[in-house]
Amino acid sequence: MSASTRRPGGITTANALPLAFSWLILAVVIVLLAFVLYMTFVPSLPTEPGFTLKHWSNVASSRLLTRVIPNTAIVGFGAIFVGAFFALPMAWLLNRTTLPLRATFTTMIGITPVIPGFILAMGWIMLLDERIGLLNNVAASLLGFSSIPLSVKDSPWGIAWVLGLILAPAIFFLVAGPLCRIDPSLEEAASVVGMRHLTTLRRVTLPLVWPGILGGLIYVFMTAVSIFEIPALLGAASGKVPVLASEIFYSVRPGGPLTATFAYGAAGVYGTLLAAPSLVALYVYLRVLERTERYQVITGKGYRPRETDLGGWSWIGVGFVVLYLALAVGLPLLVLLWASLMPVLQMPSREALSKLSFTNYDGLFEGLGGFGVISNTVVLVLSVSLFVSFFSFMVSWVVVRTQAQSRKLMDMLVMVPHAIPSLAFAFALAMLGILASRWLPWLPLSGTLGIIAVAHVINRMPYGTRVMNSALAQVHRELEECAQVCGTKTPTIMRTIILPLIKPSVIYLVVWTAMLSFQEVTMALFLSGPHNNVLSVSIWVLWEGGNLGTAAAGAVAMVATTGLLMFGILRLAGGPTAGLVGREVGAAPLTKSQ
Amino acid sequence: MIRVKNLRKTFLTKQGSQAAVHGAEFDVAEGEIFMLLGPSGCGKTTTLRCIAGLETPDEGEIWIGEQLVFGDRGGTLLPVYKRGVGMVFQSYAIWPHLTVFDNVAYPLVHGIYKAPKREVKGRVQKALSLVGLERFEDRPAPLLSGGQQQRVALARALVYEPKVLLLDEPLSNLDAKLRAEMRIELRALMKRLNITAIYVTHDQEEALVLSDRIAVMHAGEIKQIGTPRDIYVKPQNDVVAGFIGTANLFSASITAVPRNGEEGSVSTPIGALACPLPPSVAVGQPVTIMFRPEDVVVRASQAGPSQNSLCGVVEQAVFVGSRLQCVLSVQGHKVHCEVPKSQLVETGQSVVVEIPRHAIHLLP
Repeated sequence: MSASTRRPGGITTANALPLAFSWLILAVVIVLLAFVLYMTFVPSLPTEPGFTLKHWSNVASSRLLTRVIPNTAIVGFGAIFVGAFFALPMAWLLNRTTLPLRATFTTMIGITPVIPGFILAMGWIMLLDERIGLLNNVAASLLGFSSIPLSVKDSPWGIAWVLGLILAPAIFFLVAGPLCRIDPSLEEAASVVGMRHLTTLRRVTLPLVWPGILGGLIYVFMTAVSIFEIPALLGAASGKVPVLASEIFYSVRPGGPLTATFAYGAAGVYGTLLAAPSLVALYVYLRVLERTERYQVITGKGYRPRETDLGGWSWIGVGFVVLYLALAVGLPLLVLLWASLMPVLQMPSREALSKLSFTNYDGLFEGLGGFGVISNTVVLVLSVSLFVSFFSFMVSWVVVRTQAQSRKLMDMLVMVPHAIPSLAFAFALAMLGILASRWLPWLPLSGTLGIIAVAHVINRMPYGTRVMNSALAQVHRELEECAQVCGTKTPTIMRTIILPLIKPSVIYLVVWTAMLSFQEVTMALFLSGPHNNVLSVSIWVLWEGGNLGTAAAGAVAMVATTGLLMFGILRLAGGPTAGLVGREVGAAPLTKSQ
Repeated sequence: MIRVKNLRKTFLTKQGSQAAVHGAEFDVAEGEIFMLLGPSGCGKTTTLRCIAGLETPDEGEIWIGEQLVFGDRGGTLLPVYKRGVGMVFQSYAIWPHLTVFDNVAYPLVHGIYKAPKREVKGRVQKALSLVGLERFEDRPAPLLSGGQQQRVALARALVYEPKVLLLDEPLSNLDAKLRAEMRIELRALMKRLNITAIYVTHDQEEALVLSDRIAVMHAGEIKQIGTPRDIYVKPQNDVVAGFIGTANLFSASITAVPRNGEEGSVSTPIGALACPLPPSVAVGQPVTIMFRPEDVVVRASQAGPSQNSLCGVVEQAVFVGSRLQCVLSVQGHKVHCEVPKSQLVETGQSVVVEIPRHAIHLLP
C-alpha cells in the first residue's frame, strides 16, 4: 500500500476529481501572483533580457511620495469615515432595535452592490459639481449665489465621499455579524451590576465587537484604495487626483490604447505596494473571524440578541436609513434617469419637463456598440457565473467534505484574490496575454473575451467559495455516506444528492455572480481590446467621450436590466433562494468587487 | 461472514494522535446479529465505519464473505460503493428532496446495484412492505415521523439485498416505547431474512434483546465477546460487569478453597462470604467478586440461620414501579439491591441482607 492511502484521511480516488479542479484554479491564482512580482524586476516586457531594480528605486520618486500616497491615504481613510458614519448606526438600528421594516431595509442594503459603482459616481457628478451639479444649482438659487464651489470631482475628499457611500454596505454587514452574535447574557450581566445603558454599550458591547469591526475596517480600507473606476471618474483620469490604483492603470494603458508609453515594471511595483498590506489585512481579518466563530460556538445559538425598543424615536432611525439609501442609490439613479431624458442636463422645471424625450435612448443601441457588445456581455456574464459556481463547488467540496491534508491551505489560497487588487490580476493577465501572443500565437488570450472571463472568475472565487462552504457544511455528512454505501460514486452523488440539496445556494451564487460580472468595469476596461467590449465598458467610454446623455441612458438601461433579471430569476427560483439575498450577503460580507 | 483482524485506527487531532480502535478482532457468522456495545467514544462506530469503508484503518484486515476488503499487507482497499453492504445510519440519512419511493429506489436506479427498470417498482414495494410502509410511497420524506424515517432507512438498506447489514445506533433517536417495540420487530425481521448484521449501540438493554453475540468495547479495545447471557452472568472483568446492568463489585481474598465437599469462602470488606470457587485458586489469593442487585435478598429480620447473611442499613430506597431500588450500607460499604414492590423498606431501617452463594461470580 502506498503511503498516501495509508495516511489517515489520505487521498482516495473518490476525491481525485474535485482535487484536480481545485488545484487547477488555485494554480492560476499562484502563477498570476508570482508574475506580478516578477514583472517588477524586468526592464520592460519579460521577452527582453535583463534584470533591474530601478522600478523599485523609482518608488521613492517625489510624485509618488508627495501626491499619490497622500491622495490614496485620504481616499482610504475618508471612505472608511464616511462608510462607518452611515454603516455603524444602521447596523445597530437594523440588528439590535425594534425599528419597523428592518428585514426590508437589510435586503435593500444587501442588494445595493449589484448597482455599478461607476454609475453611482456618474450620478454624483451630476448632483455635486460646481458647473453642472443639480444640488449646487438648487443651493445657489436658494442662497442667491451664482455658483457653489463644492464638487465631488477633482478632490480626494469627493472620491472618499462616493466610495464611502458605496462601501457602507460592506461595513454594515461586517459589523452586523459580531453585533448579532454577542451573547445577551453578557450584556445582561452588565446591567445587573448596575451599569447604565450607554455605559454598557461603551464598556461591554463595544469591546466585544471591536476586534471584528477593526478587522473589517482594515479590509474595507484596502478595498477602497484598490478600486480604480471611481477615482478615475472623479479626477484620476484627468491626472488631477492620482491614486495608486489609477497609477497602475495608466502605467499600462496611458490615456487609451493609442497613446501608449508603457511602464510595466512600475505597474508591478504599484500592484505589489497595494497587495502586500492587503494580504496582511486579510490575514488579520481571517484570524479575527476565526476567533469570533469559536466564541460563537461556545455561547451556542439558542438565544435572540436583546433588542432596544426605540419608541417614539424610531422614525428618526427610519429616516436615517432612508437618508442613506437616498444618498447612496436613490438620488444618483434619479439624476441619471433625469439626465437620460434631457437633451442637455438642466434643472428640473416646467420648461425642462416640456423637453422630455427619449432621444438619448434612440441612439443607445448603436452608441453602446450594437449587437456585438450585447452578445459579448451575455457570453461573459453566463460563462463567468457558471465557471465560478463550478470551481467554487469543487474547492468547497475538498475543503468541507474531504479530509485532504491540503484543504486548509486551499481555503486560504482561494481567499487570496480577495486581498489582491483586481487591477493587479488584470495586469498580470494582460502581460501573460502579450507574452502568449508572441510565444503561443494560437492561444487566443490577448484582447479576447476569454481573458476578461478568467479575470472575473478569479476575482469572484473568494465569495463563491464562502457561499458554497456554508451550503455544503449544512448538508449532513451521512446523507453523502449513505449514497456511497448504496453503491454510487462521488460524481453521481454530487449530481443526484448534493446539488439538489444545495440548489437554492447554487442559484443564488449564479445570479449574484452574474450581476457582479455584469457591472464590473475595472478589469474589463483594462483588458479591453477592439473586439471584446462589454456593456459596462461601453458606458464608460461614452461617458469619457463626453456623451453624458447617452451614457446616462445606458446606465439607466443597465440598472433596469440588472433589477429585472435579478428579481425575475429569484422569483422563478422561489422562496428559498430569495431568502438567501439578505442572509448570504450578511454571512459573507465580501460582496463588492474590488 | 465478516472477519476483522487486529484493526487499528488512529485519528489526528489538534492535541496529537488519538487511538480510536486498537487491535479489535472478531468473527461474525452468517445470519448472526453481532452487537458492538460500549459507552460513547469507545471506538464502536469507528469500527463499523471501517467495515463499511467510510474510514480507512491504519492496520489490520477486514474480510466480508470471501473477499478481503481491507488489508494492510498488499494494500487492499475496496472503495465503499463496491463493498456490497447495507447500512442504517444514526441520523437515518433520508434524502429530504426525494419521496419515500425515490429514497428506497435510489440504489436500484444509480450505481452498482442498478436493476432493470421494470424490476425497480416491484422490489421497492417488496422492501417497503417488509418494514410495513406499503402506503407511503409518494410521501415526501421529510413529512415522515422518526419511526417511519427509520423504517425507510431500513428498507433502503435492504432493497438491494446486501450480504451484510451494518446498523449505527438506528434506534437511538426514537422515544423509549417505540424503541422497545422496534427492537423486537427488527430482530424478527433480520432473523426472517437470515441477514448477517453488525449493530452498534450504547444501550445495554438493546444489546441484550437484539443480539446473538455481544462485543463489549471500552477505550478502543474489545473487553469481552459472548452471548448476552454470558456477558451478563459471567463478565470477564470489572469494565464489562459495570457496564452491563448494575453490579456490586468487591475486592476479596480467598480464605478457604473447596475441599472434601466443603465450600470455598472469601473475605470481603462487607464480611465473609461462601461462594463457588474454581479449583485453581489458592488461599490468600486476591480476587474480585461480583453479584447483581436483583439476586440480593433483603429481610426485615433474621429468619433462622442462613448462609451469607449480613447486617445493613437502608441508605436510599427509590420506587421505580415494578420494584424498589435500594442502596444499603453494609460495614460502611454500599450494596445495591432490588426488593419487590410489595415489601416495605424505609430509609434508615436496619435489615438483614442475604447474598445467595450461587449469585456470587468471581472475576478472573
